[in-house]
Amino acid sequence: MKNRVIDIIQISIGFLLMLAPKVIAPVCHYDASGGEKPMKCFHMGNAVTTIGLALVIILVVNIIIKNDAVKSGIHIGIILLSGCAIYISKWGIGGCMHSHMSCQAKTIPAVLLLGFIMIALSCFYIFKNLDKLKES
Amino acid sequence: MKAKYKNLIIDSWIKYKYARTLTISAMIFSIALCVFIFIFLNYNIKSSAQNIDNKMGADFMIIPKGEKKNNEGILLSGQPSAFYMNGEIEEALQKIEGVESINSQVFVATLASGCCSFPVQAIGLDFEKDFTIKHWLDNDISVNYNEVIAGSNLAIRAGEVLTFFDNQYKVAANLQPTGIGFDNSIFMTKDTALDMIKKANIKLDNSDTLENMISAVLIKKKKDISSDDLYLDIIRVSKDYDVEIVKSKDFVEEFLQSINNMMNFINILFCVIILFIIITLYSLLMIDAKDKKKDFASLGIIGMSFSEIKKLSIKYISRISIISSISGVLLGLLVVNFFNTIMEDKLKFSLTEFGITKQIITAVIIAIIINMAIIFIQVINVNKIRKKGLIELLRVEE
Repeated sequence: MKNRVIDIIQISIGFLLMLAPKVIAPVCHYDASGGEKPMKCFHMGNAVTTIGLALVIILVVNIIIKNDAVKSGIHIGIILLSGCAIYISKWGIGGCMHSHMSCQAKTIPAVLLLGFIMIALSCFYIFKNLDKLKES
Repeated sequence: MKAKYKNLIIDSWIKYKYARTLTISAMIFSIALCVFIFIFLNYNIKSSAQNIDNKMGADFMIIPKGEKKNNEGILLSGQPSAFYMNGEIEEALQKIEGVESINSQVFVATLASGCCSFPVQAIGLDFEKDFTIKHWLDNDISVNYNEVIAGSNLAIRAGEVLTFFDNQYKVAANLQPTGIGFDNSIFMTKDTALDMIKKANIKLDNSDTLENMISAVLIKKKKDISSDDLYLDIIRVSKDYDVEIVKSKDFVEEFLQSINNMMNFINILFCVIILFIIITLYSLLMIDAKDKKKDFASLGIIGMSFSEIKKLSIKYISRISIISSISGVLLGLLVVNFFNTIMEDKLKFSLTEFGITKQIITAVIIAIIINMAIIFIQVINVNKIRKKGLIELLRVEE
């Protein structure tokens, strides 16, 4: 029951992470028809959306699988992917230069918050199931 | 009873009616989160707003008529906007006796398009006469033509280059955090600003006198002169011009009034939410304790003293409440730090007074108080149960 609750919360966060750069907390507006070059936050948004999608797929697989050892492995993967999302949004690609622009004010904080919650939940899962893993 | 068995009992209590344990957890989590955000907003908004007065530097601002709202936006949050008036007024105001220093500024709003690095408020001023931003510079810096000083919120450092209206500007220095709109603005010499207006093709009412255009005049009064006397003198001198006089003190008072009105609404909303959660949580804890009557009676029958049972139930509720309250304040910390910029945008002024150390101390205090309150409620509930005899407790359940 406890693990199922974590799974459901994580899948919801995965969806939010996938939708954040495009729908919930969109990156800066870019008009493709105007022949303008996209700003770097546009690429950051695409990268985070892809990571979000990968997380959702992995989390669906995590629900189907019953083996505790494999599940813990998946959670380590989730920690790494969420870390990647945080790194890409803040440092790897990053956002625009002005802190009040949409990507800096909305997208990056949203990705950081969701990423940290995802990592905390996966760490909690691994910690709670440490005994079972040692036994297996 | 061995500690191992006590832990087993606590685990079984947590797992028994798991949905209820989760609800109690969620309630404690919500209280911690709401209280932290409530305190953050209250303290930060009030102290940030009160300090604006000291940060502005000028006692009076003279701006074109009808531009008060835009001027507020520039001063409080650095929202890009531009307005102009004839510069002759500066000379006329300079002659007033009570004026200690006077400086005019030229505003340019850059655009969110390919021509510019980002939309920002550009302010052109005479650095030799300046008394508004020089306190926020680390040392005396000479700003040359086509050079800018960047506000602290801009992710650009000295030596880097910015592009505005397809022209490049070198960043000469960064301003220290000010807590007002200066953090989101760039500063340059008047010549550079006027040149930027030309490059931006901004249409002025009288383009022939571009060199004579200014956006605002800032006045600092002499210490021995009363504000009201100087105000009257300024009205007398500026009556021939189409301008508006903004008294810094009045401006701050008006702003504080609007902030107080808004804060009253937020406070009422938060209090209603927190009260509702507390009532629900209290009822849930009462139901939870009543539900454990049979367990308490059984433990009493096998020889456990009442104080041991009480300790066990306190341990059980602490385990839930410590995790939930710490998670709540941690989420609160993350939310207020990550979404600080959005809050500033919505409130239209900078929040700088509640630093990370204060935040952590507040979070710890909130978590401790919530835990103590939950334990207190649990002790009351368990004490109520004590008044009944063991057999009666068992009978109630049947």
